[in-house]
This record gives sequence, C-alpha cells and structure tokens, in this order.
Amino acid sequence: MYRKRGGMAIRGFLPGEADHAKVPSMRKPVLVAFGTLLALASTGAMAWWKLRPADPPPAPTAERGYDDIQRDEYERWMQDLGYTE
Amino acid sequence: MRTPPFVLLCLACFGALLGLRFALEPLSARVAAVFAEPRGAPEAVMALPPKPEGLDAKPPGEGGEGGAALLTLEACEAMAKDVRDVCLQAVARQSAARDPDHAVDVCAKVADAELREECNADVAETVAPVDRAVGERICEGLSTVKWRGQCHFGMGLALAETDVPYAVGRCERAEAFRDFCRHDVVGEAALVDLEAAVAVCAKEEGDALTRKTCWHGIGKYLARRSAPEAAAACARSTPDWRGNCFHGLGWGAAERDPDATLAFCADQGPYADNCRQGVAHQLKRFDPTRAVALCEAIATPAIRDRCLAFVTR
Repeated sequence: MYRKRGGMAIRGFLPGEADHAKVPSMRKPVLVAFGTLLALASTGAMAWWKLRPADPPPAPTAERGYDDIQRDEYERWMQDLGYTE
Repeated sequence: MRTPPFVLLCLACFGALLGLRFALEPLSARVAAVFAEPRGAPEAVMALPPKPEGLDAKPPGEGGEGGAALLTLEACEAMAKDVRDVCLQAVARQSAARDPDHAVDVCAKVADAELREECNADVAETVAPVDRAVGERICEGLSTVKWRGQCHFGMGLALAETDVPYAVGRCERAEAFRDFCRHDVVGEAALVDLEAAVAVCAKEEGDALTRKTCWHGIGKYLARRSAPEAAAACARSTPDWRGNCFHGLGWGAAERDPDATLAFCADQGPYADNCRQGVAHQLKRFDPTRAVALCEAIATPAIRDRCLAFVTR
C-alpha cells in the first residue's frame, strides 16, 4: 500500500501494512544501514560504559575541607613538600 | 488513519538519538576531565604549596635597596592585562599595613578571581601584626576554602615570632593547611622562643600526623640555622616522634650543606638513619641519583624502604 505525500510514494509501516507490500528498493538499504548504525552505536556506548576506567582517587586539592581529605593522601602531600618523613 | 508512519519512525529514531546524546553528556564531561588533568602531575597532587617563605617575599617596589620605583594604582591601570593583576597585588601589599581598607579596594580591582583571593590573603598577612581583627575579617570574607586557609596560615606565620599561642590558634582555621601551618609556625617560633615552641608540640594535640609534624617543624627550622641546636631540641621531643624530628633536621641542614649534614648525622646514634633519610629527601629535588644511593646505604630496613619509596616516586 502506497500513499502519496508531496508527490512522493512512501511506504506505510503501520501494523498489517508491512506484510503485503514490498519496501521500495532505494529505501530498504538506507533503512538497513541506519538500523545497523543505530545498533552499533548503542552497543558501542554500552560497551564503553561497562569498560570505562574507574574514577581516579580525588587529589588533595585545597578546595576540599581539612576534614574531607584522607589522612594517607594528606600525609603523602606533606611528605612531598618536606613536612614529614 | 492518515498518520504518516515513516515520518513517525524517523521522529522516533531522532528522539532516541537525542536522548542518547543527553544521557551520555555527563559521562563525556567526565572523560574530558580525565584527559584534561594529567594524573601524576605535581599540580594535580599539590594544589597550592604553602608559602613557608611568604613573610620574606617582598613585592616589587617595596623596601629593599636599589631604589626600586614605588608602584602606583595609576601605573598598574596603564599596564598590559597580564601584568596588571600582579602589579595591583603589589600595590595592595604596599599599603596594607597603613591603610588596609584601601588595600582591599585595590584587590577588588584584580581581574583574575584566584589572584584576587591571594591579594586579599596577602593584605591580611601584612596587616596582621598591626591589626589582627582586620586581618581576621579579611580572611573570613574570602570565598574559597583554599584562600581562607592560606589567609589564616599567613596570619599565623606573621605572628609566629611574637605571639605563639595566637599564631597556633590561626592554624586551627587554616583548613587543609592546618598541619602545614602548625609545622611552620612552630618552626618559626622555635627560632626565637624554643620553650614556647616545645610547649606547643608537647601538648601532643591531634592525631599522629599532626603531632609528629609539629616536632618535624622544630627540627627543620632550627637545623637551617644550626644542626647541633636542632639535635638538642629534638632530644626534648616525644620519643615516638623523635625520628621525625631528626628527619626534619637532616632535611633542613642539607639545604645548606648535604655533606656536612651527613657527617653530623653519623653522630646521632639511633636517629642517624632518620637524619640521613631527611638528607636524601632534600637531595631528591636536586640530585635524585645521589638521593637513591643515600637511601640504599641506610642500615635500618624500615627507614631504607620508606626512603626509597619516597625518592623513587
């Protein structure tokens, strides 16, 4: 079943329409390519999400309050600056 | 029904892509942040080194010999943008002790937000010996944790030689720089009033890191003047932290003469290796190969391991 829109024949995709008419030959590869790309993109995005590197431990920036800083990283910071052994 | 189904499909796909793009936006921002900040870079670890020498830093045009020109607000305003802020900072420091309100007004003209905070912290540090209340008010008015902490730290340093209890009290407001502040304030104080400095550390306030860095400060600052004087002070330290005091001694004395310090360390009995470790830590900056060799020669296994871990990282 074809419908005229703006002088162009377009294929309907409503249920019951797809099984009794052929997709126009020029549109089918475009749709297949589009669908494949979409599937690849979503698979890639999911894989990236799963395999992304873990968050790095927060560096002791001075914007963090004294109580927010882990003592071991704080000690290392002090060591680097010559404030403790 | 006259709904165009292909258009619906296109709109659905477009909507899905749009949704995906916004859903991934926080992730992409995080990834960008990871690539933008190289891990391991010194500035990533140490946001802003404390300023142990801050009191000695003279702004351009202030005091000193050589007839340096006095900077003026007008001169700064006429300068190029990249030096204008630095110039304004210097002008603010020049007038801080005489006219702190004017100095704060000058700081307000600094365009860069970070430098503006630093400018105010410098004014507070400079005015502190003259008017503590003004300095405290300026520090409390700063908007970032970092510069509020630095501001109180600076005030503590400014008064370390004249009012030790007050100076140590400022450190309690120095936030992330609290232990750095105590280390330096107590160290500065030890140079003029060892009894007062020892009294602070002998209170054994805070956790292990806070307590041991206190004695480290005494050892390091005194050793910059005299290693034997520092060793005598370290002998008065709490036994648990005495090794850390001798580490400070080794570091501070090695800033002047590493070889003479190593010879001195050899006579320090059970603390000789702590002293050598301090020398190695100091040498890491200037002669890392020798620092590694020094660490490897340390006899005490635990100290040798700590020493090597530090100089090779």
